[in-house]
Amino acid sequence: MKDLWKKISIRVLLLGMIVILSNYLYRYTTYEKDIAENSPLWLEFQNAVAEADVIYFSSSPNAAYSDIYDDDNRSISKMVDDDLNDLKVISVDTGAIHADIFKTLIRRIPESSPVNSVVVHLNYRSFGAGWMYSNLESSIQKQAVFYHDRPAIINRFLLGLNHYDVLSEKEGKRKMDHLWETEELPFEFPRNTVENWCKLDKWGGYGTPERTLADSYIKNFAFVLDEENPRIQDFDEIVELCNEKNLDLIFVLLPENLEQAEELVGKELIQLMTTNKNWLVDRYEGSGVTVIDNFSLLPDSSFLERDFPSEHYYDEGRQAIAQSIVNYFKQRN
Amino acid sequence: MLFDSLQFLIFLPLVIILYYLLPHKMRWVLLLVASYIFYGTWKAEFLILIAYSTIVDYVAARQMDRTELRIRKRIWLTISLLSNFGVLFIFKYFNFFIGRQDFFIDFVGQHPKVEWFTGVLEYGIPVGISFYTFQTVGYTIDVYRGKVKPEKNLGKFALFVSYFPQLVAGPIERYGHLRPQIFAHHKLNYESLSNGFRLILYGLFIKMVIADNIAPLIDPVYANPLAFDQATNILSVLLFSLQIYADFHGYSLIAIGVAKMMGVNLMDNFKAPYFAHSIQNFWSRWHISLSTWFRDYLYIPLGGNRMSYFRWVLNILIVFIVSGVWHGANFTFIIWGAIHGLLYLSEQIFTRHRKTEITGVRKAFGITKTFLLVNVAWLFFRSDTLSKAYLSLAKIIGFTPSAKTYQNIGHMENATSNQKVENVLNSSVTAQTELVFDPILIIPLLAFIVLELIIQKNRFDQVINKTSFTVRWLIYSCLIYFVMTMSGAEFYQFIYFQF
Repeated sequence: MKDLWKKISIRVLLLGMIVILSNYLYRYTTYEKDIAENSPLWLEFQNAVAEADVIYFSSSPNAAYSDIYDDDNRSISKMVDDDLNDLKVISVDTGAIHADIFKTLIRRIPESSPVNSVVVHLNYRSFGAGWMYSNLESSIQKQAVFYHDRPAIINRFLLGLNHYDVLSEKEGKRKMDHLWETEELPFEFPRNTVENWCKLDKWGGYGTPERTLADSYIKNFAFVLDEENPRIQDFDEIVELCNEKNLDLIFVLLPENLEQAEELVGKELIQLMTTNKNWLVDRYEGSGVTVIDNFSLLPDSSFLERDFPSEHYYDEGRQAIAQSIVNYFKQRN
Repeated sequence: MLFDSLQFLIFLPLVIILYYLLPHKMRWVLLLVASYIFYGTWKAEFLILIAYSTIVDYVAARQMDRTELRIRKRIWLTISLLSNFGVLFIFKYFNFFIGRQDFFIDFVGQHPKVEWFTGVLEYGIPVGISFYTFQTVGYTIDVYRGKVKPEKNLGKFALFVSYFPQLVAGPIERYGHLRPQIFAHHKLNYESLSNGFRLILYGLFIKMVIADNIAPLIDPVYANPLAFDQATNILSVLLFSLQIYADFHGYSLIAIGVAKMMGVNLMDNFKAPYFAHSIQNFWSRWHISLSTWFRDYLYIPLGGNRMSYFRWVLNILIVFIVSGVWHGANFTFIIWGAIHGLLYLSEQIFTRHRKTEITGVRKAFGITKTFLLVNVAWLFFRSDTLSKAYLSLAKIIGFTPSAKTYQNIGHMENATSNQKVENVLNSSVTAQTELVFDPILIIPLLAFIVLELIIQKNRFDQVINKTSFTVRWLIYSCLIYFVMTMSGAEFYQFIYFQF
């Protein structure tokens, strides 16, 4: 028995050595290529922590533009950077990412980094089931495997083992439907759940563009925010992390198309959204965070997409948001 | 829990350590709990189905053993078969035979049970249902035939049904082979551990590095064959044959390796199938546990080859088509089975009574011919619909089918597939048109091909056992490096889990 354990121990040790040597080999061969292929945001982030005074975390609203109607194609963060001569603002953004990812990245800002401020987009829609269980989530989580502080080979191995939340489209839809069906809204029937609200007659039968858009507004904006919401927990952690790291944290509440929402769905939706928004602002201002409230900043004409309620803006809209951020930094300094 | 997941890589050592620490009497309880945890991590609700199969077959087998009357034995066998295949039918074939995905929609709201039922069906096909159903059915038939005595302990029988190394994708074991091994007293043994480790490592290599890197490469081609040229379509068929072999053989090796670590020898499922010199030979090397199951529990009861020539032909076709249906509720699998059946028969017409060994050039010709024919059949197996299989075939042969032909295929598939066909045609305009391949992956691919050529009909653990310590560890190092740094990054379940 003693011989057996000796034999096993030697081999376990050998395996450990193989892994350590493999890690060195991997770091100097295909690691960079793997990051570029599977986790390009990590490269952006590394560049930002090395050079920026202000890291600007966002998803697609930062850079989305109209190549037909916009004269100025710059992202919001670039506009801010151009207007603040004494601060270097670098964005870390990609489509559909959210507070969970921002939180993981903020954790990785090293002490030696020149970064002193963190701007984070507070996107109202990201708190809803439509975003949390979207089919883009698996790909976002897959990228995040490389954001963790582990040996390179371990991160790569975990990627191969698919050690991230893999949410199939079907499973995501099931979770969404479940929430829309069961979550109680603060209204009487038929506006007591998302499902019932969507069934309510409006804008002709199912399939008309207005009806489809109105239902999208309900599905993406009608929810009750509370401390149990996973995204709230992520934002809370961001606040804690920034306090620990002594970083100035600015939440930028993005504009929503309230005009269109009211026209298509009605004032109840605006009432619910405003209640949630106020709750958010109070919560984070109460925690000492600067919240730039742009929720109702833009009119319907500033919004790019006409068939889905997104936070993509024409250049004037992006400029207005950028200006609100610039104002904050100018006042601070 | 998937074999290629972190959870399993933590779960397995824990189970093995506990297995050898516990007294022999308690081990089966550990394995039973571990097996239910292993399966429950997918969808705990589906444990009810396994428990149901277990109880029904336990009771049926015990009742068959208690009675001497043939008719009563038959009744209990029928109950068992109806129960097992009934569950299989509901969860796997219901939509296919009804011909509509949304059959129950019309009834929703009329009765709460309808909504409950559609909710359950919504979860999809329970992982491995065809595998454990066949294993338990095999057991009841064996008891009926008097080949084995029924298990008296319900818990122990539950372990036979749910034994985690082979629960979700086989090998489909026989009670007479597995039962004595699971409950035997195994002492901690270095050979078992090292052979198990070797099989798991090689299995992970071929699944995670070979199969999972091929899958995303060829998926776009099968999604839209018209968007790719002839050469790419041909290459995709060849690559799929490697993918499915690496995927399923990889899974089987891990299963065998895991069981081996606990002293159990599961049956081999593959023996170099692409070196088969005939279709008959192929089926003695590919998914052996399933082909022998069909032989023993379907082909022979149908009369085998001891019938008239016409009946024998019919028996062969039935077995192959049922084998196709076993794989899934889709016409593509039926055609796949039928192709194999017809190829088998066409070979048998000439060689049925010839028993001479084939060697030399004839063997080489046979291997090439068999490989190509198997690939043509794989094309149907892999395609989502018959129309896509047809489009792939058309692209490979080099002709453009007419719109009328698409429509006819559409009608064959189901009521809504005309739309599907049109979608395929429309999407071909904008799709990608070449394979995107990372050249670095040629290294593990070549390593895989060389190793397979060396291994041939043996098994990786047996071959590596004959090499020196240095060579062995050099091979381990390469495999570990490949697995840890070159595994496919996308999530792909084992292909056979869906069956």
